[in-house]
Amino acid sequence: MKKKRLIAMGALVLTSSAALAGLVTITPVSVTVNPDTSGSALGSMSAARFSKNDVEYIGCGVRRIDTGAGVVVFGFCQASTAAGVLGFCSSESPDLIASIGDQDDYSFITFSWDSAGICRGIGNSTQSFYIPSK
Amino acid sequence: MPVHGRPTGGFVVRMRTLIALSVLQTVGIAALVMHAFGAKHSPDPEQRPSISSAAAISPASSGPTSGAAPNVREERLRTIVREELARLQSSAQGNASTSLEAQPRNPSTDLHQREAVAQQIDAYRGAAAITDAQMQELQADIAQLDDASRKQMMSKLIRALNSGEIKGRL
Repeated sequence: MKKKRLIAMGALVLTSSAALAGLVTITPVSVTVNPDTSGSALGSMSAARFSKNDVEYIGCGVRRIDTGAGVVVFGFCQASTAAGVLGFCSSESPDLIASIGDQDDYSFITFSWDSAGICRGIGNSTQSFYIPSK
Repeated sequence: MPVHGRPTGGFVVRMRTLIALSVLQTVGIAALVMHAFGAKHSPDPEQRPSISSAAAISPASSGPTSGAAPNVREERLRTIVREELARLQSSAQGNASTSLEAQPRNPSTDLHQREAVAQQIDAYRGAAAITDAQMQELQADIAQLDDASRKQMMSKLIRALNSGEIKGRL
């Protein structure tokens, strides 16, 4: 009888902890490629990083290269789904490059590109529910 | 000439350069006239430096002169020429550091570089893969290209990555 009470209390404690963790949303990486090779990708960095496969990823970055005659700056985004569907784009647009700087560790990232592979949109949303549960 | 809208930076720089060159030309003509005038009245013309030579505007040749009026004027002209040259040089350096387009480019070199980068991308397509280090080098090479070629080659690379012809990451 005492043992049953302990088990019940333990279950209650564990359940309470889970309830206090807040909302968690796992958004795997998704890539859509259109017939004209334009496309879009989305997904949260945490879902990609802690997925159960070793191919999924999503993210953006900036390169600054000093050519000797000036500095060339371009941004890029890339993603791969669990199935290995890939999406890449690059941009020299200062506004899009600036939006890459807004991304954070637990950002949900979206980006789209045209048939030339040029980024047409880069977005991010940094929310508590994208942070993985303990 | 009527000017519509706000002049561009390149237009302003060109106008400044033209004005500076005009000033230099005027100063040079004046200096030559003065020099000729001075030489005509000088007892020993061999000892006077030529204003048209490079030494005439060098700091080494700008030492104190006698109190004669023509020499004072000549020294003043030299100072003006030096100031204009210094201003032109600093202007040119400033433009070089702020604008890629200000650099004169050689079209044949640009074409050669673009072809070399295109061949690299084709080689990676043939190999069907590119390492992170190779990608860094390729991007550095693409960055060296002129604006149009850079965008063209970056597009070629991205399309090859999107199609899966090249396995790798940016």
